[in-house]
Amino acid sequence: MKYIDFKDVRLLQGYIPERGKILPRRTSGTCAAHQRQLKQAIKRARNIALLPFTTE
Amino acid sequence: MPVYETIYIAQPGLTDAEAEALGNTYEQLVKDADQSVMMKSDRWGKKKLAYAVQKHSEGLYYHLQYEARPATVTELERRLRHNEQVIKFLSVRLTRQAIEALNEAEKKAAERAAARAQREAERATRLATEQQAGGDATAADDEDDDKDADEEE
Repeated sequence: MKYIDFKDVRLLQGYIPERGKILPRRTSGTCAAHQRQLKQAIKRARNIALLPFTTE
Repeated sequence: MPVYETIYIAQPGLTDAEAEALGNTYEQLVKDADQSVMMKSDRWGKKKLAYAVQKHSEGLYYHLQYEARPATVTELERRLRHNEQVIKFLSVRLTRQAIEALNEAEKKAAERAAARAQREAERATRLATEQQAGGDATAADDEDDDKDADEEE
């Protein structure tokens, strides 16, 4: 996959369980490059309230 | 020239007219700017926010994709910042890969929607003819099995 769109909430949601934290690579099984893209996308999505920073 | 993408969110309490005007204002701003090309302009309407922003739990989302000089982006952000109706915004510079990926995704979504619409139309006509013939329904249902060639995700 070439680019992870931070607007693609459905894709992103699979990588942030309860609590809203980003899943570590060893748990989600993604490769290093994609994990980096994911991280960036999730952080952007959080900044525009498409994803939460934390949930309780 | 670099391509950017900006998302901004407005308060949910706006009237339709205000919401419309707001979107147009910024769209126009980008269009009028020197050497800029508007690529996409979307309104997602009211959406639930993942967390409360300035006490609001919903917001009006606007999305723009455009090619412009960096100065234009700065100006756009400056104005968004000053507008009290806008509660959040984010601008991103898109890489060539990003643009390609986004365009492909859009195309695929359109194709899928078109295929679905076609299938529904066919089903509708099929049902209509069945009703006329008095319920000869068994033969028609095998057509759907071949159509989903690109659903491999």
